[in-house]
Amino acid sequence: MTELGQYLFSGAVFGALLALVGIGTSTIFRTTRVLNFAQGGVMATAGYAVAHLVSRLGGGTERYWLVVPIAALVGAGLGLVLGLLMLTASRRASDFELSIASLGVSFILTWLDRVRYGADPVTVPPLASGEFTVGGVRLSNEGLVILALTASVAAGFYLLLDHSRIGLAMKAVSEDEGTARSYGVSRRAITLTSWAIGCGIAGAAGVVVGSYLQIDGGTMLNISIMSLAALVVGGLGSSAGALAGGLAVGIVSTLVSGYLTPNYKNSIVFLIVLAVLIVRPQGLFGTRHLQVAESGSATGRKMPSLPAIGTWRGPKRVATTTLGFCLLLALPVLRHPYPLTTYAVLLATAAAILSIGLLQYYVGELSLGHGALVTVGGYTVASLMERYTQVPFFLAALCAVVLTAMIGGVTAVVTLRMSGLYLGIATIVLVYVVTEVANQLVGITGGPNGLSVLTPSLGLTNLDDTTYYLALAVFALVAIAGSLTLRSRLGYRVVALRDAPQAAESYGVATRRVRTTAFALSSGMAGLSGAALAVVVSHIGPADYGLLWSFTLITGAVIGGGRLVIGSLIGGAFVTLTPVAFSGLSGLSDGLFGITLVVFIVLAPGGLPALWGDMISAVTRLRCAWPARRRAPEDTATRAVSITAGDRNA
Amino acid sequence: MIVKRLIAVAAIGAAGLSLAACAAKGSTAHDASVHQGIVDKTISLGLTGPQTGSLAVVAGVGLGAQAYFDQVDANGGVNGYRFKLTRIDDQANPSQTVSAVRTLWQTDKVFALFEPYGSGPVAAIKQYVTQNSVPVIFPYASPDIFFPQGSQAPANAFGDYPYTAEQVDALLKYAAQTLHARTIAVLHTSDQFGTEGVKPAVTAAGTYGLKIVANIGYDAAETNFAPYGQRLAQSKADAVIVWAIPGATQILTAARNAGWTGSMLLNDAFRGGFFLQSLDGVPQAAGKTYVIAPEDLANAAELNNFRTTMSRKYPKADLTQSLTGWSGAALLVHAVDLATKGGTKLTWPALAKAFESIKNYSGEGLEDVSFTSTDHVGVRSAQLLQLQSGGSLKQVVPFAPMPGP
Repeated sequence: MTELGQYLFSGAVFGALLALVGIGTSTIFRTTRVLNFAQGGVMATAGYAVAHLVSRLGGGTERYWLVVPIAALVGAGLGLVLGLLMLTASRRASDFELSIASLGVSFILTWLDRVRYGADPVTVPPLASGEFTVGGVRLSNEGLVILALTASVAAGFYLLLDHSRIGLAMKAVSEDEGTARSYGVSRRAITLTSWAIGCGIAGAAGVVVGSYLQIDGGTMLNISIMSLAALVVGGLGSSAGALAGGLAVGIVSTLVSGYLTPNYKNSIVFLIVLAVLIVRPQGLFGTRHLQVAESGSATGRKMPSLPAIGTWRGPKRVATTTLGFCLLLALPVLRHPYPLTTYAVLLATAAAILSIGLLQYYVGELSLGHGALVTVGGYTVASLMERYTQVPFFLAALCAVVLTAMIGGVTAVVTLRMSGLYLGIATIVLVYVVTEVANQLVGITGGPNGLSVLTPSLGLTNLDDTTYYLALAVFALVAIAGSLTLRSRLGYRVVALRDAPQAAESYGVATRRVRTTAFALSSGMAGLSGAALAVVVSHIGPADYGLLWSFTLITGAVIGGGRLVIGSLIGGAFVTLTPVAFSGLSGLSDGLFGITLVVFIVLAPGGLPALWGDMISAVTRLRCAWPARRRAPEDTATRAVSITAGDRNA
Repeated sequence: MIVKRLIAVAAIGAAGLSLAACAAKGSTAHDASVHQGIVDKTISLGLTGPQTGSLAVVAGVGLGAQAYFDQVDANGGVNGYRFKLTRIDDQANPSQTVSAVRTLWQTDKVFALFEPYGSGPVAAIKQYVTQNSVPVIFPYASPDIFFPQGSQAPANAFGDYPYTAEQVDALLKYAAQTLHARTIAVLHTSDQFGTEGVKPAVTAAGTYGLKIVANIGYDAAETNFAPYGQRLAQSKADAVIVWAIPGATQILTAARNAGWTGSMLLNDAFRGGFFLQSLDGVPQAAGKTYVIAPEDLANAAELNNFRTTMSRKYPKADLTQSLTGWSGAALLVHAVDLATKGGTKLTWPALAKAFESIKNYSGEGLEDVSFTSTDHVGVRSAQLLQLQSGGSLKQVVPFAPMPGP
């Protein structure tokens, strides 16, 4: 009993930390409906800044009465900057895309922290020392302070958000901006206030979490992701929900680690999150009206048009496509600055980006679990080819496609009631389950070491050529499958459901079947790209393609602007070549990733192809306009002469 | 319309296949020559390891090596040979390591890989470097990957890091014979590094009559440490052997807070720098914490030059990690000196022969390094240090060869 009491206390303290972070996220979401993925980055930046400031001033971080408010101010300052950025971006981007932009901000903050404060984590003294025992359970003063602090913040925000004028204003802006404006509520002021408050809490949480654990980017990122899980359990937009969700997740994860198995802890926690979402998609304390909008038409912004396979009729397009394909085929004999393997990785990554882009831009849903599907694809090929050396690569890859499509289909069925960011968070469960299972099934997966993957023989003598052409074949297969699917009846139904779900349903489109099929198709493509990646890299391990890699794929998809073939190639080139090109500059690729992601979402949510199209249109307009002005006097004179001549004739 | 599309697809496919055939004919296999990477007496070396991410502290390895090579070059090199070190950040992700190694070998044309970091990443590159005969000098990973015990020494690799089994054996021998422990717990991460420590711990416990009362594994990205600390406390182990790096001090703190009072036997990552400092927060650590160290950072006066150079060139670098790079670079320079004496041209076979001629080398933090044609591990000695109040380490067992299990 004492043991259980101790686990409950420890779990509650850990849960309180999750809740504290979650309250900040919830405050921002309540007004803006943007899920701030940069909370972890704000926590780390504020924590580092305060720790360094205090040590420079010669003080100690134990003066928490001073340190925590300063960290909150640093966080609030960052929140104001973020809020201004989001307000600017919101003219073009959806709430969904703004959430993705916050991910970019997180990358930037991590990079800046590294440049400014170095790589080492920072430890700060505990909030309080000492302990006392109740019924055999040791209650640390530090834990009690964290519990009390979180409870106070939750209560304060309950009063602020639900029983004050500013809280009502936030609610009004969130629910009906037009009406709110007519009552004199400024959307700009309220939005900035929300970001400042939400990030201010994150800043303070940075120091509190730092005192309990340590201050570093990785720890803060992990805590912020766990807090997201807690938040969806409790209900987004509710401080009571954040508190309840945090405590629930903290206690459950502690009990699982203590009594069951730490090996599957994250899987179990996220499966519980998934179960809650299935039963109550809005969370325990959430309300349905605060469910986040889908990525698609909810904002009214135009989504990418269907891929241009139908215009293959045009000779220009046929010529361009043929030339592009031939260039890719001839690449091994052309001069290229990087090893051929790098281009093979690029093509396999582009296939994965295509799979996630299909879901993100055409189905209008977010998946953070595609990295796991890539891993499953890689393991399927690796284990089949290792165990049964006679299995040809393409047969093993077919098995990978079938397996991952089944996993994707099941995920779609289980998550039918979810959409948008809720669905994205729910798919994180795939990442944890796959990683933890791969770590444990040593006989099949090689455990933490992973598996080396043989390069199949395609009749070529050079291994690099073999892997390159294999990756190219996989990319071509995925691109053709994706393009043909979108031009098929299924594709039209998918897009109809994305753009006008009610109208589509009224025309007899079977929502569930279409969505499940699209999800399975995208998952199968991810599995195939995983098969190619495993062979190209010649290795597959449990953590090779985790959550961060899913974020990387999303970055690639955003830069590609959802254009299936050219977009995924551009995205693949960006995410593959940036780290290679800047490998000598520590962490710069992280910063570039973040900056690019933010810049594209703020200035060109349609990605590089749309930006290029806009530039071509602008140049064309200029070219048309310039001779027209120059010709204008001549035209007038000519017309005058002809009129005169006509008159004469008359 | 469908026919037209099919024709277009077929045309592209045919054009592509013919080009592919041409490409396949025209391409030539990469030259896996072991003599690449030396131009104008400059030896190009490639280093992979995390410079960003949760293990970014390890970036010090590359900085230490760079500092030593710079110093040698500034003094005219060794027999006219100079060094160029290309460092690639792989974030300790095995897939990125494989790509990085291919870039280093095929594009940068390095002479050898130097101190590639991490057991997982090094395991991932083994197939590639073996197939392509890429020389690997001092992989900063478990020797079991390149030099499995009982197997023939590989022609393309030399190490300077002792076997995990020997380190674990030395720690548990001390626990049983000097600390008179009867029960032990094993705390490890569930990654490659952590799991490597478990089997040797079981073997050594059997050898020295110790009873393993808890085997606690956790994810390296864990943030909820209290339950693991409680499990350790509940085990009431006399000592815990720690084969983990991130999160270990938080778990030990949680265990102390839950009333555990046993001794702590730590791997060599805690012999200095940030990880040693992180032990400050663990209650009752002084006097009850022991660290195994194959290098001598704390007491060697010969390392004054190292400390001065590092504080001037890379003041933010972790000194312990930097020493690994620094001492490895010094050993390599010694081997290059032996191989090129008398104007001999440097080749990998010549360097390998020079390595194999090194006996009982000591210097720049390394002690008693010997190679033979059958043993390429090099470092077989270590010392045991005890944590003192104030955070310093005191030698309790001097450098001695580890007999192994």
